[in-house]
Amino acid sequence: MEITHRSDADVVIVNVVGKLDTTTAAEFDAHLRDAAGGASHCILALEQLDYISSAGLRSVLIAAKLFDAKKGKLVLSGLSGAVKDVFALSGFDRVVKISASDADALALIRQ
Amino acid sequence: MIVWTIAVTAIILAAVLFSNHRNVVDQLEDDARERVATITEGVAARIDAELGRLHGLVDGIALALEAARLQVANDEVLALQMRVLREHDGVLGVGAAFEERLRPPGWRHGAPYSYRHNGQLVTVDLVTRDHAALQGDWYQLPKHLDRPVWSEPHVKQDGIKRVTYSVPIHLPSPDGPVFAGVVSADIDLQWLDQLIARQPLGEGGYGLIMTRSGTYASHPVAQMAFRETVFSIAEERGDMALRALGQSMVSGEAGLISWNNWTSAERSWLAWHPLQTTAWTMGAVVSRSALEAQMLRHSRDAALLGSAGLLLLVLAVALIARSITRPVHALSEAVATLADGNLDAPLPPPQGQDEVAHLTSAFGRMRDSLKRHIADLQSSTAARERMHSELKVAHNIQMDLVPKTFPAYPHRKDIDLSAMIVPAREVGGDFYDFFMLGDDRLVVAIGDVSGKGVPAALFMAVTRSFLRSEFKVQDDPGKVLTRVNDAIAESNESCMFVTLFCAVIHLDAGRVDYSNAGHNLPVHLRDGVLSWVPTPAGTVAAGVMPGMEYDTLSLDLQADDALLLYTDGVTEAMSPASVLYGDERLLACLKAAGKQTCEATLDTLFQDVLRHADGADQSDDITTLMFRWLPPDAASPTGMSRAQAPLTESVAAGSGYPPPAHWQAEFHPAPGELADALARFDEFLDARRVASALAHSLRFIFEEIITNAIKYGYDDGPAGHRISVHVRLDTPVVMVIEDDGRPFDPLQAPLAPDLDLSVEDRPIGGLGLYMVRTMATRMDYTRDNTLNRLTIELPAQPQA
Repeated sequence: MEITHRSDADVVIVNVVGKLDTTTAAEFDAHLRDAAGGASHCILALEQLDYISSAGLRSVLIAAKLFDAKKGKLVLSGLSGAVKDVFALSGFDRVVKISASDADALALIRQ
Repeated sequence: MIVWTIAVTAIILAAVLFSNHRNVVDQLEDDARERVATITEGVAARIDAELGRLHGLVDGIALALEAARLQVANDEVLALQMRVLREHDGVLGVGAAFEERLRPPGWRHGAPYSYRHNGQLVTVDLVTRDHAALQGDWYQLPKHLDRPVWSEPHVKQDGIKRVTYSVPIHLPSPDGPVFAGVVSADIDLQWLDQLIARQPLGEGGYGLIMTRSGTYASHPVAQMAFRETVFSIAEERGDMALRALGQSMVSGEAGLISWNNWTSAERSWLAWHPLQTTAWTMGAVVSRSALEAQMLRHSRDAALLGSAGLLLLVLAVALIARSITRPVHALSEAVATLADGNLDAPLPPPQGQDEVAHLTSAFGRMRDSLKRHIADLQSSTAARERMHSELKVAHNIQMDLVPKTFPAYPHRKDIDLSAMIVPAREVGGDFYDFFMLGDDRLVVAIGDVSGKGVPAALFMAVTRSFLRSEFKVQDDPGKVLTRVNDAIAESNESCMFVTLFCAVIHLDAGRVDYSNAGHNLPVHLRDGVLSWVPTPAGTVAAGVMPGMEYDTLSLDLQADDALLLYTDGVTEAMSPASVLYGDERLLACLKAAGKQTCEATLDTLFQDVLRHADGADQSDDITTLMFRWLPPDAASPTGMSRAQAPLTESVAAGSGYPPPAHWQAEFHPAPGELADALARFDEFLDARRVASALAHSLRFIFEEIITNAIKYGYDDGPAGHRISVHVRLDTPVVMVIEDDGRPFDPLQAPLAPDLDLSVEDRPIGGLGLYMVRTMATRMDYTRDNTLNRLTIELPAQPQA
């Protein structure tokens, strides 16, 4: 897994590439905590995420709770293939906000 | 014991009684024989004495008449006769008779005879009364025999038993003595029966008198006396033995024989003795059965006495035995309790100074020292267990750190890699590590931490983490070691250090960049030529001093070149004679091993080290890692590098055949090992070009099930446990996961979590199993002894 982030005003956009699983979840959690810093909202850009397990879902959930606590929003963008299936299968698509692209996500936050 | 004592005593007593009985019987028999003989002799002597006294009187009268040449007045003779009668009750009558021609002148009587009649003494002239009187035996026998004669006993009209004694009187003449007459006396024999009856002849015993002719003069059966002779009876019965007996009885000799009593048929003794005076025979019969009854009585008395003695003995023995056995029993019970493990049970108090008391106190001492010993043992066992568990912790840390799944990269046909670590009992701080940087670089490392046990293991874990994380940042081994050294040295309060060798192998070109921090020089193997991997002089182990700079050196591998990394556990392995294994033997062993797979070479090396140690204690970890570079374009050099692979289809994959339809892995239930296994599984899925959706599902199931097992299945850590995964790309696709954790059936887990809860309410976790069940078309769970076996089927999908 490779993880990077950039900020757009009070929104932090975290880009995750590769696999978010039991072996990388901790790294993701740590990175997200750092990145969250002063941001109010978060976009998880997951176009290049090709695998997620329940450990990854757990990390996403933790992130969602983190921004919930800040009264901010966390939006997932760019889900595809098997990862999208996992979100659907687990019902997470009903728990976290999901948009097709980063732009849509930003719009969702700003609305 | 009591029974034995008594039995033996009883036997001895019985023997004594029997022998005593025999002796007594013999003695009694002898006594009886002697007694009957003595009685017989005594009675004979009494009778002789009595008769002797009387016939002395008669002899005296005869002598007096002879001395006076018969010139004695009639009255004087009469007076003499009267006097004899007056003075001797036993004389019934006494008289004298002379030849007519020699009769003294003036005698009125031819044969004056004085006798008792109705209490009066009267005198008659026998000749006057009966002219033929002198023709009787009493006169004729002495006359003709010319010696005194005892008549046969006889009874006259008055019924009185008597015997007549007659003595011849002679007168001198020119022709010698001339028979002149006879002096005769009738002697009363009534006292004879009484005398004999008085003899102590016992029950069934009796005495008898037999005359020379065999006539019974005295016999308890009254009819016998004077009527029968022993010969007449013998005649009558035709009993020759009796006749012979009668002859010996009248022969004048004493004798004694066994004899059956005629009247009672009892076994008896018969003894006889001749009378000196009358030449009769005194006989006595003594009953043997009476004697035997007496003997029996005697023996019975003895037996009674013996029995009483035996009873007393039994009592005494029982008492004594009880006094001995009671403490022994008490001791035995107490010792049995001790033997059951109750060392606090009281022993009976020792009494007295006997052996049992000594034994009891000895047992007491034994128990006390046993208690002390057990207490010591408990405390030392506890200490050992503490140490053992620390050793186990260290061992677990060590074994969890090093990757142990081989072949490590089954899909890489350019890598032959093997490693082994054999920890010493007291774990040293060895470790090795290898991992890929991208697809083209392989990192291999080996290290040896100073010290042993848990601290060394922890230090090793820290070092390995630093090493791994540094290599994620850069791939220059020198710089990595420099950074690792700084990191370790910085917080190294325990002043531990670690020798390290690490290398980055560029698998495309065969170049090896390496750096060494004070570690043993690895060996470079090329076509049987061995050389030490050169290292700058004076490198220092990591952790000693911050700020050290470690250089990176390079060497180029040719196809089939190999590198052997090892720790000093190999070269410093000691033989029982304290000889080190040494560099030379190491090189010799490698040379002799020739070209084999890395795994086989390491095994050969380890066996050689073991041979050298020859049973000596292993004092340090023995760690080796070997890498052989098989260039991708090499014409499948040997295929040998896969020879040890677990599955034949994996072997085929390594040699350029289609990717395997199987995949298998086995590892400890630790997150790190799961990550490694997942990485390898990814490589397999890539190589097999498994459709992404299927690949995702397979990986998802793999990760979820095993994560769950690792989290909840084990209480005691990963060491000694295993998880295995087997995947078959078939139709359908089958995945079998086994773990030896606690029994858990995922099919019985609560089904769907509530998917409609909001973010705040939704519990974290618990989703994985639900989703696995959603993805799988079929799942089976079995518990096989200690194993959970989960078989999962998924629909096959066309290759990507």
